[in-house]
Amino acid sequence: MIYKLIKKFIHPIFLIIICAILFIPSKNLLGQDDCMECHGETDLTKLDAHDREISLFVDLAKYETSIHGEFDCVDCHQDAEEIPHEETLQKVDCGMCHEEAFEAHVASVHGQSIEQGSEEAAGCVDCHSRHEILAVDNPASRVYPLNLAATCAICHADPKITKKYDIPISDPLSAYNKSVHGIALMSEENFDAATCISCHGLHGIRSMNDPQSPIHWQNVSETCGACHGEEYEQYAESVHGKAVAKGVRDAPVCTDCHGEHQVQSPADPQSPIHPLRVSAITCERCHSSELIVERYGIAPSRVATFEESYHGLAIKGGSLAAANCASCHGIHNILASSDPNSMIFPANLKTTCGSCHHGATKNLWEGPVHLTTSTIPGRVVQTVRSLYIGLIVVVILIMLLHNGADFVRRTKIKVRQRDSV
Amino acid sequence: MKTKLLHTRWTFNERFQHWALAISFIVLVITGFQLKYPDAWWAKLLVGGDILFDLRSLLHRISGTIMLIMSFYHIYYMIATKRGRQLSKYLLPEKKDMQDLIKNIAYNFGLRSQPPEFGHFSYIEKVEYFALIWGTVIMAVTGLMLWFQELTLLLFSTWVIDLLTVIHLYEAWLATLAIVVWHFYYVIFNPDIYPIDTSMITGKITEEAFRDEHYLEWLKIQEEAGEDA
Repeated sequence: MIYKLIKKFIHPIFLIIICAILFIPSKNLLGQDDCMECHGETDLTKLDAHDREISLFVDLAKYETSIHGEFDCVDCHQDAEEIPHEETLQKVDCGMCHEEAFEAHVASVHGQSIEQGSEEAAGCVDCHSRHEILAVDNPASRVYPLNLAATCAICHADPKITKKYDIPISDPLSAYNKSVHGIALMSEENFDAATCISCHGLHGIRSMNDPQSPIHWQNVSETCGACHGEEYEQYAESVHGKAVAKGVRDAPVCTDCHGEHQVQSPADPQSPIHPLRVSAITCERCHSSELIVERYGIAPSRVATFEESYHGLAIKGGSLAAANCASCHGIHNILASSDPNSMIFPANLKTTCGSCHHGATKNLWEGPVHLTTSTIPGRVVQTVRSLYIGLIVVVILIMLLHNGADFVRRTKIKVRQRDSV
Repeated sequence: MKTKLLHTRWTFNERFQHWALAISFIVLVITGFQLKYPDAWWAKLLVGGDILFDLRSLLHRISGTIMLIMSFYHIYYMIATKRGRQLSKYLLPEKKDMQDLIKNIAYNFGLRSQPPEFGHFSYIEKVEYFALIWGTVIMAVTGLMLWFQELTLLLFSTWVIDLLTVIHLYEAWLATLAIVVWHFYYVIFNPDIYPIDTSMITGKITEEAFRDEHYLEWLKIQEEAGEDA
C-alpha cells in the first residue's frame, strides 16, 4: 500500500525536490551587487603582508567588459561565502578552468620561482591583469601581440629585477624594438613577426639552459625554423648545424651570428651579418680563435689571409661588391670543401668564383686561396716579402746615413759662416 | 753677379713632365695606401662607403695611366728630341760617379777638404733617376697585371696575384720612402736649399747655385763664353 503510494508520487516528488534545489538560492552564494557594496568604493584599501596599502576597488564597468564579465565574483573567489568574508581570501586558482596553461606555468621558470618563494616572478595576473582581463586578440589586452613585449619588459627591463634574479640580458625590449621582428610587428603591424612568446614559449617559459626550452642552444635553431624553414633546413645540413646536433657547443646556432633580441637585416650597416661586417665580426669570432681552430682542426689563418687579400682590403675600404666569407662559403649552407654540395667543392668553384669574375679561367678556381706559409707558393710569397722588407731597410738606411752626413756637414758650414759674420 | 744671373736648368716641357709625374705619384701613393691601410686616421677621412671606395679605385687607375703615358712620352722625349738626347748623355753612369760618391762621403765625414765637382747631373741625381725608372717599371708591370688579373690568370696561378700584391705594396713603400728621404732632402730639407728648390717651378737656377752644384758644367760654359768673346 505504502509502496504503491510511493510509486505513484515518486516522480512528482523528485520533480519538486529538483525544482527546489534549482530555485532555492544557496544561502552562501553572493551576487555581484553584494560584493560591490564594499568593492565598488574607490577608496577601499587594506594593508598587505608588507604593510603596504593596496586598493581593493573593483571597477565593475571594466570587469563587465572583460572576457570574464559574465561570471560572478564568487566563481573565482570561491572562499567568499558570506559577508563579511575572511580578511584574506585564498589566491584565485585560474587552473580551475585554464588547466593546461596553469600546469605549463607551474613547470615554467616563473612558476618554479614562485614555488621557491619569489614574490616578483610572474603569475597569471602579472601578464593578464586581474579583473580587466581581455581576449588576446583585443588590442587593449596586455598580451595582444603589439603590447606583449612591453608587458614582459615590466619585469625584464627593470634593473632591480634583472639584477636580483641574475637575468643575463637586462634590457631585451630596447634590443627587440630595434630588431627586424620588433620593427615588422610594431611599425608595420605584421602579425607574422616574432614576439617574445614566439621564441620563448608562453605559459611554459623555461630557462635557456633547460633542455626543454625552445631557446636552449640545441633547440633555438629549430625554433627560428618554425618561421624561417628554408634557412633552417640548409643550416641543419651544414657543418655548423650538424656539429650542434652532435652536441658541439662551439658550433654556431642561429643566434650566434644573427644576435637574438636584436636580430637585424643583413642590409642594416649595424648588423653583425652586414657584408662589410660579417667576416671581421661574425666569422672571425670562431675562425680566428686559436682554441676553436686547434680543438676542431679547422684550417688556420682563414680570416687573417682574407683580410690581407684584395677582397678583405676592399671590404675594409667599404666596397659592397667585394667578396666576404659568405660570398664563397655560403650562408646557412656552409659545407666542407670535400662535400660535393659545397660552394667551394672543386667542381663548384667555377660557378662560385664566376658569379663575380665573369669569363674567369681555370687558373682562378684551381689556384690556392687563403695562402699561408704552410704551402710552397705561400713560402715563396713570404720570402719575397722578407727580401723586400730587408731591401727597404738597407736602402733607406743608406740614404739616411748619406744624407744625414750631408746635412751635418752643411749645417756646420752654415753655423761657422754665421759665427764668422 | 751673385744671384742675379740665371741659368735655364729645366725647359717648360720637362717641368710639365715632372709635375704630371709628381701629381700622379702622390695620388697613387694616397689612393694605394688607403686601400692597404684603411684603418689609418687619414685613410678614414677619405674612405667611406661603397661609392668612395670605387672612386678610390678609379683615381688610382687614372693616375697609374697618366704615369704610364708620361713614362712612354719620356722615353720618346729622351730618344727623339735633341734636348732629350743631350740629357740622356748627361745621365749615363760613369766611373766618375762612383768616385764622386766616395769623395763626397769622405768630404762629409771630414776626410777630405774639398767636395767633389759635378757636371750637369751629380751621382745623387743619377741614382734618383734610375731608381725612378726601376720603381716605375716594377709598379707598372705589377699594377697592370693586378688591374687585368683575368688576363694574368690566363698564364699564372692565383698565388701569383698574391706575389704581385706583395711586390706592388713593398715597392710602393720603397718608392715613397726614397722620395721622402732622398728627393725631398735635396729639394726641400737640404739646409742650403730650404724651404724649397724653385728650379722645377721657374726652370731657372741662380749663377751661384749653378757654380756650386754643377761646377764642371759651369766651368765649361765659362770657357765657351771666353772662346766666343
